[in-house]
Amino acid sequence: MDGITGAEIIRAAALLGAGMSMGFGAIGPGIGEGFAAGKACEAIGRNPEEAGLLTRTMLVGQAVSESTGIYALVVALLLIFVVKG
Amino acid sequence: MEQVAVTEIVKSLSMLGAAIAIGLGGIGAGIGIGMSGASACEGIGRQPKMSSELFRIMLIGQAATSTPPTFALVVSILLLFGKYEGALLIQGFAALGAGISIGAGAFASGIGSAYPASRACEAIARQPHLRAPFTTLMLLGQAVSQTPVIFSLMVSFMLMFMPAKPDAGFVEFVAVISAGICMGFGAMGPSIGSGMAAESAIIGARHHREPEKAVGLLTRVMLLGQAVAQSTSIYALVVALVLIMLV
Repeated sequence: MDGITGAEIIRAAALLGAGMSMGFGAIGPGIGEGFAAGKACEAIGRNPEEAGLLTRTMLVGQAVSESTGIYALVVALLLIFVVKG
Repeated sequence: MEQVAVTEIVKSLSMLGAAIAIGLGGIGAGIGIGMSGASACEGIGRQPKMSSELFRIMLIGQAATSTPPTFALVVSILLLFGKYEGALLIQGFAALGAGISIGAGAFASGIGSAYPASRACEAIARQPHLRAPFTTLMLLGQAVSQTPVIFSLMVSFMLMFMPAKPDAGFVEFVAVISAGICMGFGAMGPSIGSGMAAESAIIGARHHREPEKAVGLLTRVMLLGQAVAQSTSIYALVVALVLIMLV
């Protein structure tokens, strides 16, 4: 196929990279945060008096786990909007 | 190489998209529905008197688990019987992207929504008097676990039915496939994670001294945790929409 310039190849690769970055990058935080939420529910079932403390701990843990998802989002947006061919 | 007509390329890419959609999308629910069946069998083995009750819960859970592959089947059939006369090349690549999006999304959602269904069967076999709260937690958890696959379906429909840009080139072809990969795989983690949260909410209710009273609190914590877990699928949706609309 002719007519594809080097700049177009770089742009296309950047867009594909953006999709893969956010797509695969979302898997880990999604599973991890769900796992944290589940364990918090189990612990609240055993020890309902500490529900407030457990919810806070769950949210802090999830926020840390979320950071890799945000890295993936930042990288995806950089690849879409900053990388020019 | 002989000249291949654009229509034929578009049609073959759509067929590939249809196969990926239902082929990948069927795996998760196949495993998941089997998990619910296995838990129901174990429960009936322990308590044969409960068989009709457990059978009903098993079928409800399995019906909800079957939703994601049904979406994949709809997309697959739409791709198989679409109109290809006068189609542009970009529509073929968009069809492939649509197949990847719903296929990968339905794969994970089938597994994710099976966790609460299977755990609910087990819990009801052990504590039959609590069947109402367990069923509520199961259905709520399954509903949240299937949110990402709705996003996948939305992206698939956008890719299939958006008006095609006539001047689209190589970059746009890659962008629509990338949007499909982004939303499809981005839906995986949140679906499975939300399912795990719902499963553990049922375990939590079982361990509570007064499970009827715990359900409200546990539902709140479960929904809060699931909402945070869903955030990454929303990022994936945003990136996919940017790839479809702005590129």
